[in-house]
Formats: sequence, C-alpha cells, structure tokens
Amino acid sequence: MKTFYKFLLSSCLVGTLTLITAIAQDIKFGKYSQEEIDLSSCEYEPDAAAVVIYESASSYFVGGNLHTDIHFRKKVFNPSATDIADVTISYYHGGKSIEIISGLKAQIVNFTDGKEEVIKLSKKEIFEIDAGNGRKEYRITFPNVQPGSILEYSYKKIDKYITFLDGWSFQNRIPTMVSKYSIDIPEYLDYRFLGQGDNFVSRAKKTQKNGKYEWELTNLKSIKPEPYISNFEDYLDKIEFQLAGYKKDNSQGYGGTGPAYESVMSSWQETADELTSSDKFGGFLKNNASTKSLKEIPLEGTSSVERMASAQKYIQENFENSRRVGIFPSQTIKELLGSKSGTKADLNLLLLAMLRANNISAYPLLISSKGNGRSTLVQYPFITQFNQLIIVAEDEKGTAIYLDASDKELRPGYLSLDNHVEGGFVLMDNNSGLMPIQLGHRSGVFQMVNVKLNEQNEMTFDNVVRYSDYDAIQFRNNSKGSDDLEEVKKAMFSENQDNINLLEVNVKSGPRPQIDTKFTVTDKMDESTNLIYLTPFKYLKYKENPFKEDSRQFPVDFNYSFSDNYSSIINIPDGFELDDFPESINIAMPDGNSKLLYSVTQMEGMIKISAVFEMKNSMILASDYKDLKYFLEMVTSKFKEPVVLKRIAMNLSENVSQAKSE
Amino acid sequence: MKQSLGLLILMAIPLFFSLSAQAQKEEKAHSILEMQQVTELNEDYSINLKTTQSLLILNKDGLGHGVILIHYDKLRKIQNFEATISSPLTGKVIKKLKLKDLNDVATISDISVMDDSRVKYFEINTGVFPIKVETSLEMKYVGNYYMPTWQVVPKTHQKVLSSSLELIYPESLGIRYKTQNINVEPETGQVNGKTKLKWTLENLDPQPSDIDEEDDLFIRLGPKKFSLEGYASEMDSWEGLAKWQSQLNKGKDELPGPLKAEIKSMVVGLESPEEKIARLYRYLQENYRYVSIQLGIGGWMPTGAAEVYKYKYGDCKGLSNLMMAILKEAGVPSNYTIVRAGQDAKDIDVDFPSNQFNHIILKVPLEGKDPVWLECTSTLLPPGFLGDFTMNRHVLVVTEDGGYLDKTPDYSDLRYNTVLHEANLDLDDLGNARIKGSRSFQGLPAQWFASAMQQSETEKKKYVLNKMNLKGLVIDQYELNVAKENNIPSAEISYQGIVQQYFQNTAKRIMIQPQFEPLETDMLSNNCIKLQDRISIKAHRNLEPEAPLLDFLQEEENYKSSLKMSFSDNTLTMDRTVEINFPEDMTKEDKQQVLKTINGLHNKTLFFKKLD
Repeated sequence: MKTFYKFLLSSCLVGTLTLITAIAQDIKFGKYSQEEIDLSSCEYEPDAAAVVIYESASSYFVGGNLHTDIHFRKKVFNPSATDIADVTISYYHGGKSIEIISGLKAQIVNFTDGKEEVIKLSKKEIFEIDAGNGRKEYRITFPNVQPGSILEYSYKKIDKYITFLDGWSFQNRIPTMVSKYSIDIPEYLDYRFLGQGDNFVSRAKKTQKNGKYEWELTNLKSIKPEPYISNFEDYLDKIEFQLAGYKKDNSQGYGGTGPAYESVMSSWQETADELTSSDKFGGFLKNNASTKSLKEIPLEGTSSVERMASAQKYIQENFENSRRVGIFPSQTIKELLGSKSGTKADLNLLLLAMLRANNISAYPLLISSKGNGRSTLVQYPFITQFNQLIIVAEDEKGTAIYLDASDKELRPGYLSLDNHVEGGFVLMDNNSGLMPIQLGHRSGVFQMVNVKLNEQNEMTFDNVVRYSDYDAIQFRNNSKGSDDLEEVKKAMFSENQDNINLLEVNVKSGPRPQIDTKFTVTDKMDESTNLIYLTPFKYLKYKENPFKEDSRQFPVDFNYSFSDNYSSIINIPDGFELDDFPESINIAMPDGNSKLLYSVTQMEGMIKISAVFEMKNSMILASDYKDLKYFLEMVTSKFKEPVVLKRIAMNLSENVSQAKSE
Repeated sequence: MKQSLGLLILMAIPLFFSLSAQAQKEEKAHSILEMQQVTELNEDYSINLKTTQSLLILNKDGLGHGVILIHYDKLRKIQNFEATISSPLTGKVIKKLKLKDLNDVATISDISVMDDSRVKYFEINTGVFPIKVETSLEMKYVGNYYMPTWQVVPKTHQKVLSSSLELIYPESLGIRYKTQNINVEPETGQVNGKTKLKWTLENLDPQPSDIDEEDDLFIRLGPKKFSLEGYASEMDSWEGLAKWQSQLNKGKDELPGPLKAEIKSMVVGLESPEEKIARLYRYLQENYRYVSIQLGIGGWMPTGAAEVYKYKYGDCKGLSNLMMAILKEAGVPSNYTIVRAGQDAKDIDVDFPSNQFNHIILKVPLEGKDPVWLECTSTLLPPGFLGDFTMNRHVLVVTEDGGYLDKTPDYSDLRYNTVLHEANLDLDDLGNARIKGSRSFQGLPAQWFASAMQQSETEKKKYVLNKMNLKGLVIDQYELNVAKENNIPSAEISYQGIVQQYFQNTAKRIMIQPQFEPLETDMLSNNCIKLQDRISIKAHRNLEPEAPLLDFLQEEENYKSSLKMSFSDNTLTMDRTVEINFPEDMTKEDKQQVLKTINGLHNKTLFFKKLD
C-alpha cells in the first residue's frame, strides 16, 4: 500500500466558492400570483397529485450562529395528496438549544370563485413534540385541505454549530418547481461546499454577489424508491458545507500581526489527527495496558493474511455486534474487552489493535456505505460523508487487505455488500487520505447435476452446488447463518420442498468463503404416459425475473458481479430414448455485460446440458433497464425448457431387462 | 380507508403472547425469570402497579428479554424505577440504572399529529453470559378504565421459576378477572381493609415462538366500578362500558349553523334514509381527512363536531362523531360504535367486558332492514361497506344511555368476493405473445382499487401490472374503471400488451404454463372467493397436444373447482372456475394445503408437439 490517490468521480462537484453573478427573485409569504392560483397540474409530471411550487432556504451568520430562513409553498391537485398537509419539522435541540426553530408561520389558502380564503394557523394548531434523545419536532396539520389548496409555511432555524452546515436537499417526494438555497458567508469564514446529483451538477443556476452564493434548480421530478437499489438517497441533488478555515483577529492592539488564517480540517491528515485524538479512539491505536494485553491472544497461521483471519475469527467468535454503525467508537478498548459487545467501529478498532499487537500494519478506513446518501466521494476532507469504519491492513507484499470483524460471515478481503464502495478515507500517522477500494472476488455458483432412474422407478437428481465468495456470503445471510439443514433448505428453495432432500451443507474453511451443498431431488414418474420431461437444473439464481416494471428511474444494483457455471448430465434409463431437448443458444445484453451460454451435447446413453450465466458489472444503468428485463426473461424461460425422454416399445424394454438378469 | 389505519388509533390493545400447552418438545430457554407483581386498586379509582423481577439472561437471543421498556403518558405515570445489571459469575455489579439513565422517546407515529404517549427504554449490550438484570418498577394509573393483563410468561423461550400476582382492591369498587390456563386457586386475605387475592405459579416451561393464544397463561383484569377523569360507570356488563362512552360523547354533537344549512340543502328531495346516508357520507369523504390524535382521555373522548368541522380533519372518534351529528341533523339516527380493528385482529373476548378496542365506526340502524355501517376515516369506501379492517367481528354499539354488543357483516356472499378474468393471446415465433384481456374484481378483492385510482399514472400502472400476475407482461395500453354499485366496490381493468417469453421451446415441442392466478391465503381474509378465468391462446404454427387436455370438475367439502381445456384450429381454450368456502375454524395450515392442491392441479405445464 504505497500510494494513495485522490480521485474525483462524475456527478459530484466540489469547489471553493467562486461563481458567476446574477440575481434571482424571491417570493413573498402570502402573495400569490395568478399563475399559482390557476395552476392545476404539474407541467412536466402531469400525474403528480401535488407539487412544491417553491422552496427556499437562505443562510447567514449572526454572532457566530448560522441563521437559515426556510420557506415552503406547496399546492394540492388531487385528494390523494392531502397527506402533504401533515408537515413535520424535525430539529436537534440536544438539551442545549443546539438548534432552535423560531418564527414558525403557516397558512393555507383556498380559492373559491376567485375569492382568496386564507386560514392562518395559530400556535395552538402547531404541535411541539419532544421526540426524545435530543430531537424535537413541530407538527403542522393544515386544516381545510382540498384540491386547489396552497399550503405555505416558513420558519427560521438557528444553528450553534457551524463546522458542518446542513445545506439543502433540492428534491422531494412530489415534484419541485423551484428550489433554491443561498448562503451569505462573511469574509472571515471560509467554507468548502459539496454538491451532488445529476441535476445539481448539470443544470443548477449559480449566482454570486458580495459573498452571497445562491443555487437554484427548477422543474425537479419527484423521487421514489425502487427495488434493486437500496441506496436511491445516494443520487439526490443536494449541497453541504464544511468549514475550511477562518481568520483569527490578531490585529487589535499595538503590534498586531493582522488577521491570521487558521485552517480547519483543511487536509486529510489534519482531519485524521483530529478524529483520532479523542481518548476513546486513540486508546485503540496507542500502546497501553489494554492493547498490550492483546499480544497474549495467540494467532494461528504463518502468513499475515492467515493471522489476520485468525484475529478476525477471534472477534467474530467472542464478541457480539450491537448492530450500530458510525465512525467513532462507542466505548474505550478497556470497556469493550469487558462487555464483549460493541458497535462495528468498536469491533473493527479492536481488530486493528490485535493486528498491530502482532506487528501487522493496519489502519482505520472510513467509508460511506451504500444508502448513506453519497454515490461518490469528494476529494476534500468532508468528514460527514463517511458513516462506517472498517480496517485496511497490509500483507507481506504490501497489498491492501480489507477487513470487517462485525459480520460473522466475512473473511480477510471480503466486505458486506453495502460496503462495496469505490473508496474510503484511510487514517494513518502521516499519509492519511482517500484510497480506492478494490475487492477482488470470483463470485458465482458452480452446479453439477447427475440425473438417473433409481430402483423405486423415480428420476433422481443428484446435485452438487458450490457457492463461492459473495454468493457464499449471500447464502449464509439468506439462511441466517444456520447449520440446521431444515432451516437452510427453507432458505434455499422457496417452494415445493417435499421432494428435496438436503444432504449436506459444508461451510469451507480457507481464505475464500465457499459453501458446498449436496442435495437430491426425486421426481415421480407418471406411469400413464410414455414421456418423461426433465428440467435439467434445480438450483437457479433467478427462478423468476425479479423485474416487473416497464421502466426505471435509478440504476439497478446487483451488488456484485458473478459468473455461474452449471452442468447437468441426464442418464437415459434403460427402455427410454432421447426424444427432444432445448436448443443450444448464446444470448447477451447488447452491451455484452450479461450473457448466457447454453449448450446441449449428446453422448452415448446420456445428454449433457451446460450453462454459463454471467454478469460482469454489478451496476446496470437505468437506460439499459429494458434490455436487462428482456434478457432475464430469456434466461428464466430457457431454464424452464425440458429434456424429453420417450419410452421405447414395451417388448423391447422387457427384452433388455431380461437380458440383464440372465 | 388509508392503509396507515393499521396503526393503533384509539389506544394500544394489549398484546398477548401465546404458548402451547401441548408442548411436544422442551423449548430452549434464553432467559430465566422470577417476577412479582402487585396491582392495587385505590378508593379514588387509581391503580398502583409494582413489578419486581429478576431476570437471568443466558445467551444473546435472551438479550431481547432484558430490554427495559416502560410506556407512559398522562394517564400512566412512572413513580419509581431502579435496575441493577450484574454478572452472576463474578458477582460484580456492571451497571446501576435510575430513571434518568433510560432513553426517552415519543412513540408518536408518522401519521399522528398529536400524541402524548412516550416510552423509556434501555437495551443491554453484552457478549458475556449469563447476565442478571434486576428491576423494580412502580407505576400509577390515574383511572381503572384499563387494567393491564397479567402475563405469567412474558416472553417465548423464557423459563419462569416463579411468577406471582397480588391483586388488592376495596370491596366497595370490586374487581373482575378471568383466568386462562391458570390451574391454581388464589390465596385470599386482607390488606389495609382491602381484599387481597394472590396467585403464585412456579416452574413453567419455556414456550415456543409460534404458539396459539388459546394455550397461553394469563389473567385478564377488569374493573367493576370504574372512573376516568371524572366519568364513572360500571364495567361488569358491556352496557356499563357503553354507558361511560355515552357520557363522554355528551354535548359533542353540536353543529355550527352554516353546516346545518348545508346539510339541509344537501338532503333536499331525498326521501329514503339510504339516499341521505349516501349523500352525507360522500360529503364527509370529500371534505374531511383522517389524522390520528391521542392525548390522555382524548384517546376515548371525541373532538366536538364543531371543531372537526372547523379544521376539516379528525381522528376516527372525531369523524364518526361528526358523521353521527350530521345524520342526526338530517333525521337519521345512528350509533357510535367501538371496534377492535385490523385485518388480522382476533375478535374480542365477548365474555369479559373490558376495553379491548382501538377504533370507532358508525352503525346506522334502518327499520326493517340491515343496518348500514360507515367507516368514517375512509375517503373511498362505498357507504355501508366496511372492508376487512372491521368486518365480521363483535362491536360495542353505544346508545343514548347505554349500549349493546353487535356484529359487523361478514361479506361471505360471493358477490363480495369475485374475480373474473378473460384473455386472448397470440403466440409468435420468438416465444412472446400478444395479449388482450380484462380482469374484474368485485367486493373485497376490489377494496384497494379506489385508492390506486388516486395515485400517479406510474404508480397506478404498477398496481395494475401487479394485479395481472402474469410473468413477463409488458402493458402497452390499459384502462381501469372503479365503481361502487349497490355499495359494493368493484373494479375492471382492460389491457393489452406483450407477454415476453410466454412459452418455451424445444426442438419438437412447445410448453405453455397456464399461469392461472395462484390462490393465496391473503386472498381469503373472508374465507371465501370465486375465481373465473377464460383464456384463449392462438398458436403461431401447427401444433397438437401431447397428452389429453384436462377436463374435470372437482367438488370437495370446502371448495369446488373445474377446468376445461380444448384445442381446435390451433387455438387452446381454457375455462376455469374456483369457488372456495372455508369454515371459520379451519386452520391456516389446512387452508394452505387446499390452496396448494388447487394451484398444483390447475397450473401444470402443457406440452404441444410441433407439426409440419
């Protein structure tokens, strides 16, 4: 691990604040234009039941606090959208007024026969709720909501902490016609901003005047979650801020040196130093009684990767995971060694301490897991972009090995699926920075089937199926790590398990996650017909096409690429002949990413079906969705096609059996 | 009715954990419990509840048993709490907890605008076992309207060494209880001039996680005389409970002048009560929306009709009360009706009058006819149709000065449970098929279509596609029509499109899966359904069926089904009917078995030989 490179990816915009000039117009609370009154549908999303006509947030600094004036105006088109009239404003009070909401105003306007009827909401009608653990909420329930109603509310939010600013999200579950955010930054403060999202990058209107910056987006579509993307939040249009530095006023008094610039987490190293300086975090990294005590836990193996696996296994077997995540440890190493239960960060930092105690180089690696609201990392030290902590260690050759002790199924070099991200922030003594994460794996399912007639006159399928790498991890997740064959069987086969006999599930030890299974399936012969229909494979990755919708907004995320290899040998029983079989085909998606090779070979007394099913890239663009859907339709359909065996005339079969018994 | 109604609306129904009396095998214990509970009723109707317990957690699956969870609100106050977590191995105290050490959150739901119920909680995180958690909790309930059930074995996979309930009450107020599977008699005695009953049970085996409520051990408690915030009544009959509700409702039905005038003009020319109900219910649906409000006694007392009118929103109590007042103004009397709602909710225990409810509907009695039931939180249901949220169960009807138990309709007639399907398919050389068809739904199967109609075009299409249940279907064009003729919801979809890879090929054959909609238990919330399908498939080339085509009629005790297939002019025609009528006491497993049999029989792959 000699080099760490900084990288910048598409649909992600970072910069210091230098923008072009122009001025946008704001709207006034309670004043409605004729266009707004007449508006009866959303032009670019005609079936929307409601829209955000206008939303804005305007931030400025007053005495070291950040004030933000927030204003929403929404319109209802259809009765089904009246739920937009239940508004929750959530903020973090923390018992110390860390955030305050003030000046909350709300009103609803209905227009009957061109007459404006305004109902202003009184304090009594706005409910304040203590949501617990420092969070508070205001809940506004607008009365008299009907199609045509315009709802409007505004408030000021005051924030004491100004290192990280909330910024603004530009999209909503309903279409948003205008959304803007502005911030007035005084000359003595310096912020970095981070914008993301296709719309934000490609078409946000930016203006700047006298230290005031503004971003405006118009005609934004509504956003909705879709299957096969756990992380649609990662694609939203939004902007965030982090303090980069400020001017210290040293000029007062005689001999002042003038304002001095103090940078704040301006480099990755500075950020790393700040993160690891706390007692809790630092305690895992430094030499102390607790970290020294780890030396007494013997690690097996000779190579460093074997010893990493041994340390990881020790934590997996002796510690519980409290299922919480975060980039900071929740307890000291001493407390963790006592409670034997910790968060992902706790457990991984303990792993790090164990590795270091055994002279293996290891570093904390901060990542932004899928679904954390960030599809690409920014190359500036924006600390809020990270939400989980894993470990990167070095083997003898200096190769980076990724580790996570919080998931019992993982081994060195393997991360849970929502951790399959492009890069992370490694915390080192001197070389902290972003590094790409490259997970080598050869995921896939290898299936061998042998079909023959048994003594009870049933067709039996002897199946040997090996799941490798992420297919193995997925297998264990599906069966919840159970070793109970009945439980595993339920997880493997969704329906019709009566004729399946799961004989063996063997979780292999060794560097790669691999699971070998053996099972038999028996198909009763239908004595009334002279034909046997046999579908060659009993395990299928996709028994049915998981995609039903005809279009899609977000990419499809399969989480990992794979290559499956199936083969089935059908022994033609005495008294039968091969009558019919599926045709060999070779199909692929137009971009060549996914393919199915299906071939049939006839041999003496048997027929062999082979299939290779491959997905080279786990992320499929929304624009390729239709191709993907049709491709999977072809794949699932192909695997339903049978081999047909036909009984040879009766007397002949008798001859054969007689011949044998003699 | 919004789907979100599934959330609790009136107040939480106590959840019953269940266990099996005929435990075939010893269940594994994740924790061992000793518990003493003292429930003392005071002359002022308040209750002091004291629970002392010692829990030994044996493994990580038992950690859930150790979660400290205390619900409280204005009517249920926490007096005192202490807990000690220690290691029995070392004898060391790991943590001492006071009330202030617990996390505190509002249990407010996303849809609730006003709610004062909160919960204090603490989760234990440890990887070292066993671990001991000793807690002592004192609560005060300000009224005895609701008395918590004593659950002898609170968790499944929990071994109970001993568990006791002391019930102390003044004779002047009295108390009622109902035991289930409790095979010991209580000790009786006197404390401070009050009567004391004490049950002690020991050495109870762990319960499996999938057990029936009938097999559980508990004592249900209820008051005789009760009072809550100044309203008193007696609960030894359903009438007494209803009477209390009628006191709460008094004076809530006053309507403002403009609404009275509006009602008058709306019912002009309408003669029958049915017409008036339909018109006024439509007014309610078009002008008011449902929100959830739960605040102290607000959990049972409706918001006044005038206030709901002003804001145009209300909860189930407020909306039902307003509708009752509106109907009264139009000369149609109706009754506020209390129900335990929920698609899967069990019917109430009719033998034990007590608060077992969570929702309000309206009953409109009609002379010489069946009453009309109104779900006042729904903006979409036809008048008189309740849907599976409140159908077929016992309800408490509140009258002017009392009330009675009644039962909501079960909709077991087939006109409430029918799905018809027709489709014509044309196969092509690539394995695809052009399809044109229609599906119509009547009654319960149609109950959610009205809400789908209100969705955006994209969502609506998704819903329709989902209802088609046809693999590979891509819809080009469709039309959805929703109606509520005769107050029964109905929906019809006509559509055309392509079915990708509808059939499979080998060198000599083609295979077709009939793809009749498979029957599933959730289609039978009502225990009956009728499906009728007529599918015709025109082949792209000359074919002949490999085996004789199915043609049968099956008549069994709880269902009939028929399937008739024929093939001529290269066209396969399939006619199917299924009529199911399950008895109410049939087990889920038995139902599933029947459905599996039918699905298997109807959806066999069909083989055709390619000719020429």
